[in-house]
Amino acid sequence: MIHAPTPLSRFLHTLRPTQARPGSSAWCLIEVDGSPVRALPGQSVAAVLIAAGIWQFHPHPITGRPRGPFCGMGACFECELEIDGASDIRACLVVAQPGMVIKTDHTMDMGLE
Amino acid sequence: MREDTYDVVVVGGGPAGLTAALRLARAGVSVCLVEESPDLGGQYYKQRQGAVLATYGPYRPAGAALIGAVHTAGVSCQTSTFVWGTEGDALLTSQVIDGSVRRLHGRFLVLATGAYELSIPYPDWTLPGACTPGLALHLAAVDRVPVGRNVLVAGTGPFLLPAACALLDAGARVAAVLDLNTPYRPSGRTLAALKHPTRLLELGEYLVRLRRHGVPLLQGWRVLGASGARRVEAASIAPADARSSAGARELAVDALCVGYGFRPSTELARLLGCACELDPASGDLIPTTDIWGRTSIPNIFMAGEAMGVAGIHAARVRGLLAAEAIRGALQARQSASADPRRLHRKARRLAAFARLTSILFPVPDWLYQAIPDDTIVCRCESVTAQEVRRAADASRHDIHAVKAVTRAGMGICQGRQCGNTLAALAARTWEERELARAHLLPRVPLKPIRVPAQPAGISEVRE
Repeated sequence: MIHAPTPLSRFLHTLRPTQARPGSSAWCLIEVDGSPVRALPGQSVAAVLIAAGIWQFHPHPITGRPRGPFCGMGACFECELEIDGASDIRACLVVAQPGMVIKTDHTMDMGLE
Repeated sequence: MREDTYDVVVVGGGPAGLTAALRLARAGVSVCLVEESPDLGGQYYKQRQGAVLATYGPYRPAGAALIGAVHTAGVSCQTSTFVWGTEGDALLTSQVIDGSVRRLHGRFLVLATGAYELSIPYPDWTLPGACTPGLALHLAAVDRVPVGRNVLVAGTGPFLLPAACALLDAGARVAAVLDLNTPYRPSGRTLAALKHPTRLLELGEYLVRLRRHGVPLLQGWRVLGASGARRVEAASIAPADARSSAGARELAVDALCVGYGFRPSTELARLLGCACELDPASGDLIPTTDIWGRTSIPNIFMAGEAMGVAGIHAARVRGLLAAEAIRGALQARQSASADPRRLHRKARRLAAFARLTSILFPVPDWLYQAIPDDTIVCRCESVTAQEVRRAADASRHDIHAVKAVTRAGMGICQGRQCGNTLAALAARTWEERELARAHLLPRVPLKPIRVPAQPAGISEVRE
């Protein structure tokens, strides 16, 4: 049986220490535009890039202006990038794996702005 | 093309779809569950994975338990797979990464396709760093990554509070939470919330946490626009009742999350030809259903938020109701705990709460009319509000003409992000808007499908 959390259990949950940190061995490396980026296996690719301060996933095909993740649920297609050679992959729908090679297509940014 | 047949195909692996699939599988029915994400859970029960799960423990353990039960019950779970079209009563699916397609037949279909966030365009909302509260919540709660160091959360709806709290948990500073409305002030309307003490307690808990972290909650305020060179550097905010930039203030933030509630995701139901009606809460078209979720097509059922947004508890009740009706029709064995009358009572009560939510957090039409002319409204095709307004004036407010002339709503997201705005800008009256919504038709493919670079049959060809 599945029980929804009661108000009491939720309150007790808030008292639990939330200081957990991933151990140094938990991290892995992926490659983004030729540079190594730290990822926690299991994180979405969108999360890994944002954690590394990378918000520009591709330039808009018409305006050339930078675009990045927007909806986080696969509906807006703003987080598309190239993963392991496959183009136009929604980064919010893919979980990071060690050694993944990602291209943000920034080379297409021809300064049209 | 690979072809599979099941008693029931459930589309959508969120709370409603999981609940329906579990109940049916336990009744001995063969069930296939199709989910676009790599893992089950949908948006609400999205689960932590791998090292994130190992470090931080499960997120929403009730969801993990439900997902585990669905696997144990023998449901055939097709994850990273989405439905992009129909062929007769068969569903055409595609695998997200390799693009492999298949045809799925079900004697019954349960469409638990969920909802999207409702966005209303503002200047520079296309800047990286401007996103939905849903993205912020997922990243913070599931991936443990805050969308920014200093984040503004704005829009309207109870959902803004958990999004802001998740950001605090993930180590971000929340500059402020802005609600367009004033739902947290005592009034005649808020008194009705006293009938739903559990929901009030949840809200109260969020409000207390925000206060404890010193996060200002500004009611009756809205975001005017974002600004920044290549990503969000600041947001301007103003009191909502002015309906203009009077009293505007600038906040330095590095991320901006704006959402105005949710819109049911009904493309698949509409593509299948289910009769629809206008949802008074979102102004969107939703399939007409009976109390079990049965649509105008007798073997197609709706479940969850796609029937009209009502929250997690309603989603699960609706999943059970659809499963019960299908179980009865298939004459599968009855489970001990099923009491349809109790479920119907619960569904009515939760629907009443959903109505109260839409009364406390309305999305007024002037928000659309106040979108500045040079603001992009269609993100995919980069079409401005002015282009849409001009095309609407020149075409007697015909949404087809507006789409054809401007390309707004014809991009890769198929109007999922801008359909509400296009209808509001193109139509002058409620009737016209209803017509406009009806004419923003779902098209095949519902989402882009991957065409193999090397089509089958020419694999021998070498240069």
